[in-house]
Amino acid sequence: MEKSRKNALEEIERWSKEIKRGAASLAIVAILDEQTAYGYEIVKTLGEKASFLQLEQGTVYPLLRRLEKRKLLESEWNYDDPTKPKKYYKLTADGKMALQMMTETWSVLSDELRRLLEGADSQ
Amino acid sequence: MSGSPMNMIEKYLDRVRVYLPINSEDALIEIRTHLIEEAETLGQGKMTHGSAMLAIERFGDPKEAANAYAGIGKRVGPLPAEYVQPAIRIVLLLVALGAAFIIGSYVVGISIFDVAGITNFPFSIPVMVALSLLYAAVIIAGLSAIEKRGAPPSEKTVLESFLGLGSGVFKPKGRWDAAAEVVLGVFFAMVLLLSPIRLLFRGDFLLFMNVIAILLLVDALKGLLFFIAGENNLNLLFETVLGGAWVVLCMFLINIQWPLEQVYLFDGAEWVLIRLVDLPIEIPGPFGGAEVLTLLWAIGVFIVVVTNMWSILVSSMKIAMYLKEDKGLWWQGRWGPGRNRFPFFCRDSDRNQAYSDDGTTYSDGHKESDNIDET
Repeated sequence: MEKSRKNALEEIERWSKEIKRGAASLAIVAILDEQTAYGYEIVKTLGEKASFLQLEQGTVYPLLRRLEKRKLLESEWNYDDPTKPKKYYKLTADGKMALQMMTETWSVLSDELRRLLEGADSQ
Repeated sequence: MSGSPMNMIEKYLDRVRVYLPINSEDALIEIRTHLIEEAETLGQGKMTHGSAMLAIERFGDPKEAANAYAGIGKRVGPLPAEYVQPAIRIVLLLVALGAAFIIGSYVVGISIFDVAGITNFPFSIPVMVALSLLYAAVIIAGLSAIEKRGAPPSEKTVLESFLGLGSGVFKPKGRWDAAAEVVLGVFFAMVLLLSPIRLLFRGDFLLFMNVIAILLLVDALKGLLFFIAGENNLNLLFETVLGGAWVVLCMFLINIQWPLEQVYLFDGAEWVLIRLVDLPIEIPGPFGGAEVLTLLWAIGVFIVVVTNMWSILVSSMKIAMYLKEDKGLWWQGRWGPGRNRFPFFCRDSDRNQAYSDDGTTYSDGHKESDNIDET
């Protein structure tokens, strides 16, 4: 029994990681669809609005960088406070298109999964 | 004591820098801003020692934070991904150091051989440096294997201290360092052009003095560009070309003898010019006076060549790095961290602390023991 529980916990950990990895990119582009924001703002918004992701603060910045490299985001430095330069990110046209597609895919995925799970529950 | 909260953050960033590629200043500035803001939020508007420590802990282990950029758990050849960047940096720096010394010795080599008579002296330096680093690596790796990690996350491990060798080289030039280049360049150029100073040197050196003065003024101009626009490819290119000009000048300088002919001496009533050969000074040791001056001249030229070659190589690496990032030639670049020469540039939150012998008291009334390093 203890072994089964351990296996299940390991599986849920692996599965959560994979789900969160994809969801984190979607959450970030969704935040940036509403407004431009810099790293710390994005981290805080993710903490407030997407707490289920439980992202380590340090992992958000590499993700932003990767999305920028893939041309989904573009950035601009703001030096208004020279002691705290801020890198503001915004969605590119590619990013907006990707967000639209990701949202549709996510929606289809969650609808179908919900129906599948409801079916499993009723059986 | 770990120093001010800002100092703790800088130390943590130094640890992250160890594991990042050399072109990661942007990432580090972003992380620095994050840590400051998080510490200020946690300290309810003021960054304190405790809030900075908590912000650092929340950000995570430096190796993992840096690794997230490269991909966690990857291996590159025999090396875990986290050690690839430090290894690349150390190799690059060793190659640059070796090249700088070899070119420096090529320029002055014959003179040094003639004077010192030490076989293969300048060529043996990079080999000695490489061997010393290898010994250091073996010793430090041994030490780190038995090292117990009890220090706060802002403190480097022994291994990180070794892996971080040379990571500071790739930081952009500080704004006040650039300002110092302007002031010193203009000052020394003016000094070299003063007739009472020119009187001291041999006639055949005066042409070179003019060239040195011009290069110093161009150096000052380069400093001004760095002061205004920070580090960008045009400024780095300027630095590279100017470094090359100094090296070429040194190729000429090494072929002339020690140029200082006279010095000013105060005879009790006034300053008088005395020829060096008339000075009643006995130089002890195996070399006579003339040989010592020749050796000093060769060493001086050698140092100028090595430092300029180093600057050329590091600037070239940075230019290549920026070109790879499609940065072009000119942009408003960044300055490296200053050395806090001017206390009024300190952050408010740093000033909000008052230190006492038995610990640190913060403006929010919180008091901590200073022996945090030993915890």
